[in-house]
Amino acid sequence: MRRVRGTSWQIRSLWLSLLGLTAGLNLISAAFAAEVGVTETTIKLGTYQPLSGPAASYATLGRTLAAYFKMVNDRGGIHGRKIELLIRDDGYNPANTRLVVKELVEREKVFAFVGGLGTATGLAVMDYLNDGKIPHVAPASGYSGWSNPPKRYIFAQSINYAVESRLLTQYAAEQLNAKKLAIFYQNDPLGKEGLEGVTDMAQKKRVPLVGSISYERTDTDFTSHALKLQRSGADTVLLWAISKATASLLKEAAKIGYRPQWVSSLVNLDPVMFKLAGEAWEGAIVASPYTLYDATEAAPYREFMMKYLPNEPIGGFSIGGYAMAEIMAEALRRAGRDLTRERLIEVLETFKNWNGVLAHNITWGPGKRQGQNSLFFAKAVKGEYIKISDWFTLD
Amino acid sequence: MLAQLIVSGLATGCLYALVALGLVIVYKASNVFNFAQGDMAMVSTFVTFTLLETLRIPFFWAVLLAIVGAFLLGALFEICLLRPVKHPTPLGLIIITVGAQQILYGVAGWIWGYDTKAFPSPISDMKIYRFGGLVISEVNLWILIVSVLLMLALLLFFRYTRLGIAIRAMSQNLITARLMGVSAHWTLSLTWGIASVLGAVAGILIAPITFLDPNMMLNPLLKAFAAATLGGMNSFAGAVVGGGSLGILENLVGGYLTPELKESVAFFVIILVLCVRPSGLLGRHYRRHL
Repeated sequence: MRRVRGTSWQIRSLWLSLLGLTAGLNLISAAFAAEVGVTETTIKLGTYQPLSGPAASYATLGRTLAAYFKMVNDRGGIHGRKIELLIRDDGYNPANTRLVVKELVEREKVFAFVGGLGTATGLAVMDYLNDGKIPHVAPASGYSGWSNPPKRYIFAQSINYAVESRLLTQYAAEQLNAKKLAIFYQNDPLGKEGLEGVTDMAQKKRVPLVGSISYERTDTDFTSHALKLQRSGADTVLLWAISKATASLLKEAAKIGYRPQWVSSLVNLDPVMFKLAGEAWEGAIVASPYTLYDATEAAPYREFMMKYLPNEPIGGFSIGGYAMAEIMAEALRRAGRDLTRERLIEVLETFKNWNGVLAHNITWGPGKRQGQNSLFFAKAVKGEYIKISDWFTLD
Repeated sequence: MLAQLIVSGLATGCLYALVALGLVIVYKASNVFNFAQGDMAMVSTFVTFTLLETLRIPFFWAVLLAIVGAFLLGALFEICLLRPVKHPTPLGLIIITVGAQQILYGVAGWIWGYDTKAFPSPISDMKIYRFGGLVISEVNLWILIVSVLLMLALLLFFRYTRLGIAIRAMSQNLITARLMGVSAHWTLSLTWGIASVLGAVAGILIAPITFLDPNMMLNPLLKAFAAATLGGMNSFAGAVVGGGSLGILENLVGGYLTPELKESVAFFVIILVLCVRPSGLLGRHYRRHL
């Protein structure tokens, strides 16, 4: 190959003019496409959801996100842009999550992520997104590692297990005057995080924790669990368990005549519990991080469900999805017409005690990435949940 | 507490036994571990659910229809998926059942959704009977009664009916059985039908306890495999004994040792059995002449 030689100043001037040209082009393109995934008329968002596989029932959350943005688009979009949400199925398998998220980032070039579902799945891409400076708003998981330590591009929203388990215990000790506490939890890292919080707070409040009974996700017979709880003599039992296990345990306990005050994690704030546990659910107290779905203020949510998702169940996952979507929409509204990822981060940091239809008390700030820290308690009474406490925030 | 754990364990064990019986029947007749047994049962249970909830058919008729449906599902399974296979190898057949399981699972999720549903059973899970200090729920009582009756019926069927004897003959020596005039094809389809019905009954009985979703039979199937191995893969009585003792053992470990080991104890036992007595507690080891 022949090399073209020139005097050094010639080359330098050539470089300079090239530089000038690219700079100019950059400016021009900046005026047209402000940011990756944002055009004059659209904003492209991404999310990963378990549309298939063992956790497929959770994907109601993803479909609710999509439906919410469809509603936003039907009403004219945000600052003249329609929102396009790309949902990818990861089958609740972290290895797949990596693949689909990479595809969304590198090929689809999404602007940001919202409500990606799962802890193990989310952890597989947390650093990838944060290092790539791609915002992920409200990952759908209560894992405390999302916000602790804080990461600039990850905005954890759901109240995390560490905070929730402590609030549950505090409530049982202070408001319910529990004399002897027990906890029923799922034997996995998330269950252990709950156990840790409960143990810690029980010690602080000087209430003896007389029983901690774990179960496996695959258990079907809960006789031995119920008997052990009964034997522990606990008057208040904290439930850190998914709805199937909770319902089975409560029924078994009722059968052997053990009726303590049940205080459940927000996971079970779902109308399906009345069907699964039947009469045994009566009187149970459940934490709620969102405005109650059957409250008067939540009417827009119920109308939305009727119009956009008539076939999806009203319950935890559609409530969560709705709250996450309304937070994202609010952030995009605040960011204005000149939307960039950095601008989005800037406005997310201005959320201070923000309330949506369901989302409550969302606060972020510089170096502060845990959006929600408060919840209230509701009681299961004759097929509905009734608010029985104010909002609590961890002191 | 001991008696309580044993009774509840026995009820759970009966369900394992029903599913295990389905596995054993199929294994005896066609030498296949049927991985689709659980999800065939799950589909039949969902069919019952639809008949009850959507079509509002009385419970008795809904169950009867579902059982007929389950029989057809099992028979068709054999006719459409296994019979066309030329020169079947055991491994190939197993893969077919695994594939069918995945298909059934996916289709069920597509039709009925993955969220947990309550099964509308007239048998109350909350109603209990007391015998001294012992508490037994109506649903467990039914499980015990129905399972025992079904097992007895099966026993009589295989002992005294021509068809039953034909199935047994086929499992011991296919060629001789055919020479004696047994129609291998239809006997096989029938066997699969019966296995599917057993699964369906187990599914309908367990649904009020475990609730309804496409994953519901996953764990019972694993336990049934364990029970069948424990009792002996080619012994009907073995499946029953294996299921029952597994259910009880699990509960005892959960109650006295630690709930954490409850699930894995089944597999400890299996490994032990396989090491000490590979054909299972009641299984017989046939020498095959090739």
